[in-house]
Amino acid sequence: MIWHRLEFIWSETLLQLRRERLIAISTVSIVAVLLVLLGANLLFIMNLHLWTGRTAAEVEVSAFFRKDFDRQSAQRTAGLVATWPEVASARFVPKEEGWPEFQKTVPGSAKLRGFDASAFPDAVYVRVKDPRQAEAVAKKLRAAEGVKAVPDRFGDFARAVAKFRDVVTGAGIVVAILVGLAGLFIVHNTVRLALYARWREIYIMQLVGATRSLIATPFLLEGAIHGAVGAWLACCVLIPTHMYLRTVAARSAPLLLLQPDQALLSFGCYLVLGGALLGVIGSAFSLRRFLRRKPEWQA
Amino acid sequence: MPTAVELKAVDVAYPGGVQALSDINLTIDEGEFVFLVGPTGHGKSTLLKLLYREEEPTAGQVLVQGWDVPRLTASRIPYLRRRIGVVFQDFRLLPHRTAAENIAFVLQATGAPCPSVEKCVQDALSQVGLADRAEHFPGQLAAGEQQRLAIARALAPGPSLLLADEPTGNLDPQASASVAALLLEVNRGGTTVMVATHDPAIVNAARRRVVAIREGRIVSDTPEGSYPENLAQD
Repeated sequence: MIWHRLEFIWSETLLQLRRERLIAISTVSIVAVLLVLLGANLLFIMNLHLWTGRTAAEVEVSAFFRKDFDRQSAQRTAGLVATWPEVASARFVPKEEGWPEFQKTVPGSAKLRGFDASAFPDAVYVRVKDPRQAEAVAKKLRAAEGVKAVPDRFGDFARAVAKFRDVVTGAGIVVAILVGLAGLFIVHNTVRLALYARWREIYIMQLVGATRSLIATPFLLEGAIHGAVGAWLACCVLIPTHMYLRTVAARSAPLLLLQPDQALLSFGCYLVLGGALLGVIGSAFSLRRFLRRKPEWQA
Repeated sequence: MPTAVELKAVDVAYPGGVQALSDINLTIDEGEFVFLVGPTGHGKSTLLKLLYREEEPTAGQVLVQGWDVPRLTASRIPYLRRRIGVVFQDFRLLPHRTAAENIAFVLQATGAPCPSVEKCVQDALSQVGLADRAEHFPGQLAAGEQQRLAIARALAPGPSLLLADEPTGNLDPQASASVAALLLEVNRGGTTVMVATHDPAIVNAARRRVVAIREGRIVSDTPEGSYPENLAQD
């Protein structure tokens, strides 16, 4: 019995798609274009998060200890800092290692002549989990036992990166919602056309006692197919393009990180699922309104 | 004899104050054949629509095979309708499907207990004398044949009540007589049949129970009756 029902639902769905194939093709094309826009937007946000995540990981707050503060106490303070919730890692650097490291990281410092390396203090280098917390961590470090100075070198940069990421993500979400609504509207209209084209069948089904779910399912499936096929086509454009850009970036801008293949595969799966869901929701809106009306039979 | 249909003090009023039915009291036993007669627009179709919940009464009780129809929830209405076959004046066939597909569609949509859809379709077509028209589209059939097909479609899921709303309204006298004979034959098989009509010829030929409706009220109820002469003039 269930098998016969499924067979009926599937055959009705295919019949619909066949009968209104021009409408189906145009809907799938428009949905694909919209999902290319939506997907490009999402990929941009994903890449931005990857990049800002790495930048955040590179934000390091340094704190220098007083010269009269003994090394054992300084190491203890560094160990304590490592336990702070905002801190990803804290590295204690004795003054013997500090000066050579400073010369490597600060351009031009190696040329300083006559600088007394022994004057360089013990230090703790702290990586924060979120660049927005760099300033708060610096403040806490200034109050930590034995700390003399905490240069605020990265606070502004970290804040700027975080703000840029948040603004772009927010704008991306707004664009995604607008594009999603446009897709919803298109599927809604297509299914409404299909409903009007098949009102006789729907009326007969209602008259003879077909359940609401049996009447609705072929239309929900039709919407899901429109959405999923549109999303699949969008993936066919977006994923190869992204892979090409990554190859180009690897050659010309090695620091510009782009999402790896594994992430693209997940992205593709989510986009197809999202497209299908978009189609189902669009169809459900059309059905809700259509099944409530009383059809006028015009043979 | 168990009751197939029972209406108690039923009123139907449309918005704007139009009274379609007033104080309808009617009992129909299982296996009966009943003509509802009366002028067009006097409430026959509305009465039939009450039985399959296309209309709802503003007052009174409507019982079909023990189901309190107006109180049914929306999710139960399909199960009521599976017990009722409905035939219309304008046939209401699906023009892009063959005769066999029109019947198969209904069987599949309702999940009728049918070991083989093809076999049930063939049986239904044979019952109405259209076995050789299975692959014809409705547009390729004569009006009388289209109505026979509509009857086959209504009967295919095996309803115990058949409602026919002006089934001969679009037919010539010969086709009308043939459709009326078919409905009587269906009734002989045990199905309760209610036919709303203003065609005196089929009513007078059948000599079955006749319920006359005028201006939304039952004005006469005659076993083995004929078409009331005062209504025939309207």
